[in-house]
Amino acid sequence: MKSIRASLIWGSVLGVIGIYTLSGVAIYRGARATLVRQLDESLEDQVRVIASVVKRTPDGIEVEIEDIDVPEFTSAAGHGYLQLWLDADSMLYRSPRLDGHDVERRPSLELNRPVFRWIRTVGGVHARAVDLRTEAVVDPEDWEEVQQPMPRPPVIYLVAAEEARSTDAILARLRALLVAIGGVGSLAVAATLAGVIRRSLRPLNELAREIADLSDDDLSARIRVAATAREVKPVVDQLNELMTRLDAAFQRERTFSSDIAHELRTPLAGLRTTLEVTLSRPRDEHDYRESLDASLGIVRRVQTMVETLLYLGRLESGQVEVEHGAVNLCEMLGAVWTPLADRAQVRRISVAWILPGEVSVMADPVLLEVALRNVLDNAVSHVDDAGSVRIEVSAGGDAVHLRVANSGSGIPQERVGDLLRRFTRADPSRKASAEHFGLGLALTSKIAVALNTGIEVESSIGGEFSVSFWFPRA
Amino acid sequence: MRILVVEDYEPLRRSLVRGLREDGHAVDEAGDGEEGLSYARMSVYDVVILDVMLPGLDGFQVLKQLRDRQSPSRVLLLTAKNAVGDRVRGLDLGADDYLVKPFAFEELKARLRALERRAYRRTSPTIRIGELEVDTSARVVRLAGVPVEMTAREYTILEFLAVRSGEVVTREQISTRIYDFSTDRESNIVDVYIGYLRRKLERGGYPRLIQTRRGLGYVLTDEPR
Repeated sequence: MKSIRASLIWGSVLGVIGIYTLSGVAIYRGARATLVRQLDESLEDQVRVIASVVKRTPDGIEVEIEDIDVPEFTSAAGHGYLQLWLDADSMLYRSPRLDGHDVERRPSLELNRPVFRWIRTVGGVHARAVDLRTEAVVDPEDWEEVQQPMPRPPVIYLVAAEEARSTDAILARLRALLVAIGGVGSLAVAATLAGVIRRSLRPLNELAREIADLSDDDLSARIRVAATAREVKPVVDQLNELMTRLDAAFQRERTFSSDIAHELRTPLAGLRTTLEVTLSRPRDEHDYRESLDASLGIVRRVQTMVETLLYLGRLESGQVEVEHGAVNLCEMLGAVWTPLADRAQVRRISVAWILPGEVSVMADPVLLEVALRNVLDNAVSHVDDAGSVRIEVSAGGDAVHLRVANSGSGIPQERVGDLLRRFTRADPSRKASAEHFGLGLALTSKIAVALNTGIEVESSIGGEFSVSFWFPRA
Repeated sequence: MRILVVEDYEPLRRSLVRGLREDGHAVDEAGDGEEGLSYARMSVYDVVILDVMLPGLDGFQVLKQLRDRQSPSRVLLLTAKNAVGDRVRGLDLGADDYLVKPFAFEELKARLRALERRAYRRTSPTIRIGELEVDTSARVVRLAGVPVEMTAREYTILEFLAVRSGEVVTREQISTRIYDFSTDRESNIVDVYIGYLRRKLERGGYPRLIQTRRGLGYVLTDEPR
């Protein structure tokens, strides 16, 4: 696995070594260039001084090298070499140290422009050499004395070389120094960085410990962030937020389980008490029949509830197959309404149908029927006595809008969100009848999700309660 | 006993009312908290059987209002949630007992009897007045150790007098304990039942235990006037 610490340390160490190397090379090259320039300047000065003692006199070419003090070129113990030619090959002077050997010359050289180069001396010593083509000195006085016209100064060629021992020694020392500083510095920097990085990463270790300490049973625990680094805080915040969401999800599940327990315990209590009271004394057939009828009613309602819950569970876990096809919406509404019509009549509910004729929508017919039955049943169950139910279908463009509304709503708009959750009864003031477990709208909204259909619930106290769907037109 | 059942789940409520009435209690029923409170305002109940999860005002709110109003009724909570928090909250708000649904009807009756005993600060379920012995746990009456057959209503009246033995009890007190709002009251029905009880208790030459205090009511005592 990739280690942040290792990549940080390696990255920084390599970076430091790189920077050291680059600056070392730059320092070295700068120093070397300066030293060589100084060497070159001194060589040029000397070669020009030497050139100034090469004279064209009426007697010929004179090299008065003894007039100047350049023992490094002239003495056998000197470290320099010097060779002088008249431009056309005739040698004028050669240092004794050259021991009869010739120094190599450059083939073409501009006048008065010295050119420098590195050479190996006869003894194999590293040396700096300068080549200079220049004019010999012509003294007018010499020619006035002999009353001869002054000739053009002849061109001479000089090569002077000086062993670079001291420059090389300085550069070698500098190299050693730079390498030493670079090595030791890199090590020191690497060690410091390793320490700093280890300390900087300590909040991550602490975070890991905190996370390890979190208990499975207590999702309300949070990671403490008081002393953590600023960089780790967003991670901690996100983790804590995740914990909050998990806690809420588990809380919802726990509430749901306890709701199921409640919804099952109450009818069970009814069933048990009914049976126990019935059995507590001998009764006539009518009493037994009545009690069995009541018990059967309770069992049927519990069965409906359990089946609805299972269906909801299967729908939520995606186990219900959804197969879309063209469904005649108005026909299905009529079919779903038929068993509800009697109840609506008994409660003197006025029912308004606003249908545009034949309209087909794309939906899964089985799921759509469950949803429509829920919504229509809800409307008939929750409408006030002698109130009105309105079923409206309008088709526009690609969408078909279905709206089912009933008068006498008992819930404010802000509680509508609760209705879409399981076990929320629409009307808290209404006495619980076991048929309405508060599952209807939860199931309907889940079906809407499965059908990929928009759903909207609107309500105002004393006003209308309505559920709207938008289906794609077939 | 005069009992009020506040329970929104109709099948359970109906069976509770039926069973308790058959046991000789006077029972009124309410389907939600508001209705329960208005019954409690109209009459004094020995015990209120109160469901916690009620639509509108829930059981805890009803309990709080009863206690705020200094109602002397014993309250037995019925809860579908077996969470400690719920039970603690109920007891802290002044409930006397609780039962978790689903429960055995026999257990409910036993708890009601225990509540009644507590109401009269009796630790023993058996009350003795002279030769008369009223076993409130088994609901059996004995005279000199011999069981006496009684109807539920006769027993209820005798028990009502027995737990207050030595105290004068008015006809009105008796009739509110044995009649709920659903029964037509007849003015002399208490006297009729007292007559039945006296006949059964004095059969075999035992002295009169239920004595009349003219203009006041009745008293159950073995001290002769």
